[in-house]
Amino acid sequence: MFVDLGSAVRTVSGGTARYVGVSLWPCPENPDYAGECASRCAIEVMWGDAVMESHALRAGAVVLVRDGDELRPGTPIAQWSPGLRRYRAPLGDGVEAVATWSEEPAREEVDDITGLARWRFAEAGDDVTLSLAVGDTVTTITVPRAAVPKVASGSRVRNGEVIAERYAPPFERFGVNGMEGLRALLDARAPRGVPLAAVAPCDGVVTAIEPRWVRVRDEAGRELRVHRGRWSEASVEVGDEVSAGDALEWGHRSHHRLLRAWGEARLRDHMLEEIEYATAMRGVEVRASDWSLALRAMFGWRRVLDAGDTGLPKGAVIERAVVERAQREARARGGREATVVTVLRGARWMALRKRRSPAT
Amino acid sequence: MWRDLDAALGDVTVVTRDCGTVRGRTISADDAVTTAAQLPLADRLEGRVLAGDVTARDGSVVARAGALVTLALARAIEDTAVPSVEVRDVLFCEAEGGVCAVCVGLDLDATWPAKGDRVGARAAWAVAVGSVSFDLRTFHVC
Repeated sequence: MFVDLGSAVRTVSGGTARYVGVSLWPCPENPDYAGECASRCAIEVMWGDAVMESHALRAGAVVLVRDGDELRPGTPIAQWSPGLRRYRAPLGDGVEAVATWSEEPAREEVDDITGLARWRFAEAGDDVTLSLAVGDTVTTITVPRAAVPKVASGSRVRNGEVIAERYAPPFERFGVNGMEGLRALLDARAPRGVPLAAVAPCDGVVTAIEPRWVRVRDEAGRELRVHRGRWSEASVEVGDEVSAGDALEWGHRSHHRLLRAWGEARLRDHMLEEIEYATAMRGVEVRASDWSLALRAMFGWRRVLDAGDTGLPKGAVIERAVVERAQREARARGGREATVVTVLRGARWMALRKRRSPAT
Repeated sequence: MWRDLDAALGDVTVVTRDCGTVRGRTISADDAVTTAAQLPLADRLEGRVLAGDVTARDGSVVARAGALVTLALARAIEDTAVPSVEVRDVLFCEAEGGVCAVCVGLDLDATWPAKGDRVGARAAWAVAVGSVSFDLRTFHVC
């Protein structure tokens, strides 16, 4: 049974499913599910020995296919609800436990005036815990107080059963949702009135959320510190797995920050997809090559970190063509090339730069 | 916006017929544009030039690199259910001092841009006009 959870990934080509680093929670609520990803993993679709597709999955995605399954084109592989985070009971196979909440994280009550049901969340600032007792053995799970309990104290809980759910608005995948958004994209700035979000600089795990910093430990074990706004609200929790470019707090993901996290090629693809998605949703027809020309100009600037033997001014932002010509000349002379990085520049900046240039 | 874009892109012209690059942009059949926005893959491929061969599941070559994707070919590619197709794009154009006609692709009147065509100015105009209609197509329910 396919229950639509909001987002799904399907195979386009069809083939044989292959798990790559997949670790699954059991899903007793629906026997048709293969399980729920406990951590970041991937499922590949193979034609013989060739990998035709590779689908990266986040922790919490419900996997619908099993390792070695033959998939027809269009078969859903996994699905997830972008705004829902589930907490499951970590018990052994076939084990049942008795649940006891330290304090109900939230309870449903009826409003005196309107008569409508509403959730009242625990007022204490600390997270609440659920104890799962199997005989004398007690397992304790910590749940944020904003979570909605799915099991009551005293009830019996099976392995993998959902004990609490927390709804969090999904990360906005694409930020272009109006002319201001489009204009902001072309000007390489944030839309007006929208706070900027700190983004994860690499794949890793959130280790600490401090008032001014979010700490992320990368896969090599190094801990990186990401600055966050004074009044910002973190959108991740300690222990969350994050990918490079994920927002760590609510707000707009700056393309400049994404450029540092992703690099030029991935950001370029993302921006093109973002534009095409927004225009297709509105039924606006602009040729893709016209957008590509605009993005080519935006990505066509380099900051000189080390001039080498090129004679370029250190620290200056220069057009790519000029840099490449200087690099070629330096190479021909047998000199050292300059070290440059790509910077993103908007249409307004480029227009001002070109209008004031005496060469034009 | 048009003035800014025109000043930024206005000097981009077609300088050669084909820069000969082998790199291209990958258009996926399962990205958000094709699936969520329901823009068919064939519509996104039409008028572009392939940067790599398109191979069907049985190993047969549906189209070779360098082929112009007509509507019929675009539909044939869509029918083969390939996960992605690589097409020439000005983002990867290696022409010096401008862009090449093959990376730009066919004009709206199905002709190739000629050498010296100010494709940058035309793109600036198209993007600016598209942005305005983008805003006008905000639907209000009230």
